[in-house]
Amino acid sequence: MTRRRAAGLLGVVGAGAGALAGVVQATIGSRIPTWSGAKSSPVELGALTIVLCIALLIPASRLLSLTPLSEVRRAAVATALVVMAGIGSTTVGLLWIVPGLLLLASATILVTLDARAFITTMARQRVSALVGVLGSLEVLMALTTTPRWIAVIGILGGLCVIAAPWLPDHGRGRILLLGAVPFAVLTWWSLAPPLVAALAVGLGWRARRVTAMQVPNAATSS
Amino acid sequence: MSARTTSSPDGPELSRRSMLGTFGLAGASVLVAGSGVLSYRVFDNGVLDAGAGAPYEAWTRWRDDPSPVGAVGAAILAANPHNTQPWSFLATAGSVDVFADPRREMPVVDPYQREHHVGLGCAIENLVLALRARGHASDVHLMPSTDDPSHVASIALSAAPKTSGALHAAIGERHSNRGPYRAGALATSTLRQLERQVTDLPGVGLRWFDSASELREMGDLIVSATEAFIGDRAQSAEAFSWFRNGRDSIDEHRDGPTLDAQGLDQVTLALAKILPASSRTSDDAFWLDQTRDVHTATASAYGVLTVADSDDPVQRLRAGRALERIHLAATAHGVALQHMNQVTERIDRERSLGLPPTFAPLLASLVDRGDAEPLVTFRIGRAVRAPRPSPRRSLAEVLR
Repeated sequence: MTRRRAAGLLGVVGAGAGALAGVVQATIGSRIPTWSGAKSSPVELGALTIVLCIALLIPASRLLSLTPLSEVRRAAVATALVVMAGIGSTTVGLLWIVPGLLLLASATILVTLDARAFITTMARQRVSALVGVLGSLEVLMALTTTPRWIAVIGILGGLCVIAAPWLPDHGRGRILLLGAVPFAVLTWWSLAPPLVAALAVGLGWRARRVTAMQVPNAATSS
Repeated sequence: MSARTTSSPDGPELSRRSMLGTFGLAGASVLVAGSGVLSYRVFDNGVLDAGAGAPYEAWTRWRDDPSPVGAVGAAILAANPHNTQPWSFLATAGSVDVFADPRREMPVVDPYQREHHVGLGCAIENLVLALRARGHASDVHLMPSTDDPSHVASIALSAAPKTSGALHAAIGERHSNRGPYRAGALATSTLRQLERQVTDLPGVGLRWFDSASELREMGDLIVSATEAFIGDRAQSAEAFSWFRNGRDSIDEHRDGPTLDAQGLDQVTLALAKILPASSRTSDDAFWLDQTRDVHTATASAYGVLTVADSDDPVQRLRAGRALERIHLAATAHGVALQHMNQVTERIDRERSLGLPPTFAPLLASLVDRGDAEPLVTFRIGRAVRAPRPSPRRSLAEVLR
């Protein structure tokens, strides 16, 4: 087994275990507060964990295939694994220990496949990485937002912001605005979402220009 | 502007463009890190889910269960001192018994359990209203056991037509409103309607303070009592120990006063939650400012409930029932109410310490009702903004 496939296996098992932790949180989370983190909305947080883990299964399973993966995509998958490892720790409490460790192990193996290339890629994509962090912050804030329809807008918006710098030029700016602005407008009084949105739009615009100027990277790893 | 770098003996020099880019990126990284801290506080302290989640479910589910146990779900929504929720219940098909929880007393703030018993009386009133709405008439026996002073009420049930009036409907909407009230007096007819709530409770009286001079005198006395309260380290510390500053603390305890219930506007509330938790002294300073500049400055009227003997638990419980009715009736009429017991808390504190009474004669002279003793005080008015709910422990935690 190659190291890439080992990373993929750990990622898939971690995402699966994470989805299972989400099921436990959503069903009996309120009865096991010590394990589930005594969350005030265990059902919603459990459901969100399930959805995000299932979404993570897609890039994680790509690592198992033999399809070549560019450095940029590899860095993106590693980042997604780390971000999910962080989000899960806030949604399902101690139930996240095993899935979180598996996802972090997967990300570590993926990064160490070629650490120098990863660092170079991240340095080149640093603005996009910052935008990704801002998108993750939007998701984090949306997790506990009520009413729930605003939470959905925030979570989807945050995912749009994370994805925007990596999308093709056409429509990228629109996705960024759609992702950042509605949640900020709906929660303007809470100060942080408008700040995050302003930074995401400003940096996202910059990330767009940087990415557009770059020569496509054909490097692959297996 | 050139994008190139030039060489020097110390290594390549950055061009102006590269330098601007480097500094710009560094600045952006700092801003992103700062917004990360803010965002985490927003997430962790429930800035975007005020009044939502398990600690607040009782406010929306109190009608769900049609049994006498379900009526306890309404009882736990009653007004009570410092949101200590000093009660437990034993509910069967034929009776409901109410008990005081001595672990939830405040021996320094409320040394003679004055407010403790009043809060239990409020719960009894909600219980009776909720039982009636479920088809049970209540025969209430206060302090039924001479051996057990914690057994504060025994309620025998009998079949009756289901009756749900305005007071019952207001149970889930009743909250203490600590925000500003609109300028202007309340209509006399509104005060009379509220007053009618106490007429069938023997020994309980209600004194209004609604003229300009009375409002000023009572307001000054409340501000003085607040200053004395926060100047008394032990009293201030005990009150602060019940304050739940963060969401984790609310989720864990599901009791106590919270930032959400302070009547703040949205932006101020968000800021208060994002900033680090405040100290006891800064909380005290904030409370004094609010008391002087908001609570007393915008009150349309004060009400003081009186009884013949403010040390008698039965009379306190009865006055508690009256207080809850007044608050529910006020809610039904769109009138805001805030419980303000600093003066009586200082009266009891001075008495417990054997100090010369300063607030007792002042309040007695203001109330001026002969032998009747003031028990609890509140302010009313038309609210500028809607109040937010306080957390409540679950039924499982209060049922025996």
